[in-house]
Amino acid sequence: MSLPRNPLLSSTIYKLRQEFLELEKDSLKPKTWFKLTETMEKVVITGVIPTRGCSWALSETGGCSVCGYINDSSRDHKIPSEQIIEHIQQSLNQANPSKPIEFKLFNSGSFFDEDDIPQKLRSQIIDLLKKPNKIRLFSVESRPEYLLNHQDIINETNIRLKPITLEIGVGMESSNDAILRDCWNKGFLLDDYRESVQITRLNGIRIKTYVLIKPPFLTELEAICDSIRTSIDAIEIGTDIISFNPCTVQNGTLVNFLAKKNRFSPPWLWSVLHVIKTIRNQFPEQELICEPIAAGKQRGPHNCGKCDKNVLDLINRVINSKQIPNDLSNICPCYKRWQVLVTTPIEVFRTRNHSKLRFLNPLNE
Amino acid sequence: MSLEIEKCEGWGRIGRVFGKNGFITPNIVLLRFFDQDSFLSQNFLPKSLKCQENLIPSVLEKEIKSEKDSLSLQLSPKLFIYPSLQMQGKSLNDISCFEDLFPIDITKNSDSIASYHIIPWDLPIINLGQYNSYLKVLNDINEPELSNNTKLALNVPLMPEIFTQLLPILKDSTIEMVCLGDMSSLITHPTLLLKFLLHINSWVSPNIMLYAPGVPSSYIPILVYLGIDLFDLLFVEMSSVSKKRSDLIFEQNITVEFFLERLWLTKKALETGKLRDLSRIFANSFPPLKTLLRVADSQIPLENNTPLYGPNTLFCTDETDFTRPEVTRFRKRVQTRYTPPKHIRGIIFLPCSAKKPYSKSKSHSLFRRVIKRNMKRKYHLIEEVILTSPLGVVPRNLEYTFPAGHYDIPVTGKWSEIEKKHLITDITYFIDKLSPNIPMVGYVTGKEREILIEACSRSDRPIHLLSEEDGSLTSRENLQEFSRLLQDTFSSVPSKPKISAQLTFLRTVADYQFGKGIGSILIPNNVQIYGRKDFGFRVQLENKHLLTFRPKTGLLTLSLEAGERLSGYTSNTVTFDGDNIEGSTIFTNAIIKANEEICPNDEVLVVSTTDELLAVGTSYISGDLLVKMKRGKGIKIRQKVRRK
Repeated sequence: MSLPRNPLLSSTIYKLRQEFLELEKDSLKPKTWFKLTETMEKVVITGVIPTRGCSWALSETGGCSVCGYINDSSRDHKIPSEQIIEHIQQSLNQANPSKPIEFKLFNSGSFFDEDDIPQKLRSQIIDLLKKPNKIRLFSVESRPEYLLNHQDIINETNIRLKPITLEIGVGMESSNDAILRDCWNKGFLLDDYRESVQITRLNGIRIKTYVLIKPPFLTELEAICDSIRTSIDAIEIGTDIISFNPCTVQNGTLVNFLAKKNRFSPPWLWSVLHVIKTIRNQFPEQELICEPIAAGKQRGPHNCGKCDKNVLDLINRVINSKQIPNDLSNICPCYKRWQVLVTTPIEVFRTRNHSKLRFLNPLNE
Repeated sequence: MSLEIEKCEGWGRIGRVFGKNGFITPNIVLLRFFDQDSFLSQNFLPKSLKCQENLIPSVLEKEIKSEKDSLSLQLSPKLFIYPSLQMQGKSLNDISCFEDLFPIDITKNSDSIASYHIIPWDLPIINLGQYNSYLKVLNDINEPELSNNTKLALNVPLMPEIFTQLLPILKDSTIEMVCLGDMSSLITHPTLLLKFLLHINSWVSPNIMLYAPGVPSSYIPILVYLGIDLFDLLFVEMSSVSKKRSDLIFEQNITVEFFLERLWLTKKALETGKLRDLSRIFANSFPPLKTLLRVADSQIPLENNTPLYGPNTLFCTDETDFTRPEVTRFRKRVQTRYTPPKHIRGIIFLPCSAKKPYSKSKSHSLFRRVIKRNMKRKYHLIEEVILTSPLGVVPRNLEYTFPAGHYDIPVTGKWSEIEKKHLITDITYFIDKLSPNIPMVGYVTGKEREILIEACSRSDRPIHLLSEEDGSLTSRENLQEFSRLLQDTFSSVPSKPKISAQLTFLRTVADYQFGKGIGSILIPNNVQIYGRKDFGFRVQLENKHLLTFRPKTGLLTLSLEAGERLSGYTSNTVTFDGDNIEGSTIFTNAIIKANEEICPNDEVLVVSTTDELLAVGTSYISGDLLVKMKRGKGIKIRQKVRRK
C-alpha cells in the first residue's frame, strides 16, 4: 500500500468534477448558511461559510468521491469575509443569552488550511467568538494532514480560544486503506489519521471522527461491515465523538455519475440504524451523533418512503441511548426486503444495484 | 476441462462434469459466502443477519421435504464467494501471485463436493469499465496447482466491450465457470439480455459453464435453451419476503421445491428433445420472455445446434414456432436443396392432412386414388406437393422426412399473416424452379386457394383450380371435378417410360440431407432396393449394402460404401487426428476439423488428415462443438475401414 491514490479513480473524479464546475461557473453565488437549534440546556449554532473551498477537492486528485460541497464554495471568487463576519455576529446575537452556546462552523474544507481560509479571516472569527463569553465549544473540521503539518496554527488557535474547547472534526470515513484509496479517494491512509489524532489530542483538543456510511462500489452489506469496523477502530484510536454520515448524492461527484447509471444508491436507513445500533450496544458510553442529510429523499439515505420518518426517530433514540423495539420487522414491510438484500450475496455479483427492492419485488426491477 | 456434452438442443445442453464428485448440468449451485474478517460473526450482527457459511439454508432446510430434492442438492456444486479485493484491504496493483487474490489458501480446499471459487473483483476497475486491465492482471498471474475438486470461476459484468478480452484468458486457464453477474438486472430487458448472451457465446468457449445468478424459475427453460448451465436459489429467497403476489403465474408463492421442479422439468425436456416446447410454454407467461424467444430465432444461429431429427412429434402451437430452427431448416433446405425430378411433367398442389405422413391419411388416399385412376400410366410424371403451415411446401417425396412427417399444428382453418407470407414465399420459390411449360393443378379450397392464386400471379404462371371456393375436398362432387380437371390439364402430357418411383424418392431425400445434386451421385440407376417405404428401404449396389432409409426419421443412413461414393461431394466431413479408429466412438479431442453445418444426428464421413475415408457415423453434437469441445463423445461410428 505505497501510493495513497488510485490514478484511475482520481482521474475519473477529477474529470467529472471539472466538467460540472465548468458548467456551473457562471451561476456561482457563495452562500452563508446559519441555523440555531435550542435544546433544554444549550444553544447549538451551525454555520456553513463559503471559503475558497477544500484544497483536496480543488487539486488535480479530484477530491473525495462523494463530496460536492466544493460546489457552494467561493473557489476563484473573492471570499465574502465581511458577510461571513456579519452572519456570525447576527447568529450570536440571536442566541438565547441565558444558555451556553456550542458553535459549529463548517467551511467544507479544512479550517487550518491557509489556502482555504486566510489567516486574517480565521483570527477575526476567533476574536468574534471570544467576546460573548458564553461559548462552550467551538467545532471546526480539517483533513488530517493539516493537523500534522500546521500544529503551530492549531496550538495557537487553541490557546487563543481558551476557555472555549476546540473540537476538530476529521473525516476518517473508513479504516480500510484499500477502501480509503479505491472507493473514497481520501488521499490519506489510516496511519495518517491515527498519527494526527494522537498528536492533536495531546493538546486537549477534542476529536470528532466522521464515519461515512456506504462508499461507491461497495454492496450494502460490505458498507455496513466497513462502517462498523471503522467506528470500532476510531474508538480504539481515541476519538472523542463519532459522527455517522450516510452518503448522499451530490452534483459533480463520482457517486452522482454512478447513481445515474444505477450503479450506486444511498444507504438504506435500516443500514444506518444497524451500524449505529451495533456500535451503541458495543460501546454504551461512547458519544455518537448522526444527523443524516437529505434523509428520506432519493438522493439521501432512504427506505421505502413510508417508514423513513419512523426509522429516523429510531436512529435518534439509539443515539440518545434510549430503548427501541427488538423486532424491527413490525415497523415496515421493507425491513424484510432490506434483510434479504444484505443476507443474500446477490449484490456481490452485480454492477447495478437493487435500488428498487426498496419498493418492489425483485421481478419488477 | 472436464465438461462433456451429452445432448444438446439449441444452445442448451446436458453437460456432465467429471471428477470424483461429478454432476450434471443444468443444475443449481449452492452459494457459500466466505466471512473474511470474521468480524461479521463477532456478534456485531444480530442472529438473523449473521452470514451463515451457506447462505441458502434458512429457506432450504425448512422447505425441502422430499428426499429426491435433498438428494439432488447433495450433488450440486458449491460456489464460494469472497469479499472484493478492497474489502480484503487490497488492490489489484498489490496482487503479485495467485494466493493474493483470496483471503484464504483455496488450494487447501478439501471439500469432497466440486467447489468453484469466484475470483474477487477489484471494485474501481470493474465499476469504471476497466475490465480489461483486471483480466490482464489475472492473465499475468501464474496459475496455481489446484486440486481436482477446486476450480475457478470468473464473474463477468455486463459490458459488451470487454468480451473480446475474455477469450485469451479463458482459453487455457483453470477457469471453468463464468458467472453472468448482471443477468438478474436484465431479466426485464430481453433485447439487452440477448445481446449479452450473444457476446458471451461468441467469446466464451463451450467448455466453460455459464451461471446466471438470481433469475426467476420461469426463466430457466429459455435460459437453458440459450446456453445457461447453472442457476441458484437466490430468487426464491428474495421473493420470499414479498407479500405482494407476483404478476407471473409461474412465480406465485415460489418455493425451493417448485424451483427445483422447474429445473428437473427442463432437464427432462432436454433429454426428450422438447426443450423448445417447454421454453415456449414458459415464454407465454411473461411478455419479456416471449420477446426473448421471438428475437432469439432471428438473431441467434440455433439451427446448427438443433438435432436433424428430434422427438416423434413436433408441436407448432404458436407464432414463435413458425420460426423455430427445425421449421426454418426444413423450409430453407426445400428452397435451396430440393429440385423437382427432371421427368416431372405436371404438378398437383394438395392440402395437408392431420395424419402424418400425409399419404396415410383418409383424404390423401382418396386424392391419390383419383389421381392414379386419371393419370394411369402417366402417374409417375406427376409431382404431388402439399401446402402446409408452418413448413410451407412439402413435396410428396419428403413427406416422411423430419419434421414433415412429425409436426402437428392446431387446425382452425384460419391463417395468420405470417403463415400466409411464409407459404407464398415458399410456393414462389418452388414454382420458379419448374420449367414454364409444366401445367399445375391446385386441388385446394379456402385460404390455401387464395394463397396459391396469389403466389401464381406473382410468378405469372397459370394454375388450374376448382371452381368452388369452399367446401369439402372429399365430397363426391369435388372429387369428380378434380378428375375432370386432371383429365383436361394433363391430357396433353406425353407418356414416357416408367422411372422407378423409389429411386426418385431416395434421391430426393438424399438431396435434402446432403445437398443439392447428391442424390444422383449417391444412388446410381443400377441399385437394388429391398423392402417397403413404411418399413424402410435397404439399398444395395453390386451386392454391397449402400444405405438404409428409415421411415421413422425419413432420413438415410450411410454405409462405408456410400461414404466412398460421397467422399469429396458432401460437406458433412469430419477430420480425425490419426489414421486408425479404435472402438465405436470418436471423442471430440481427436477431431481437428469439422464442417460447421453439421447438426446433431447428422450423418458424417470421418476422414484422416490426408482426406482418406476412415469411417461413417452419426454426430452427437454440432460441427462447431465437435471442434471446440475438449472432452466428450463426438461421433458414433457405424462402419469403419478395416485394415488388414
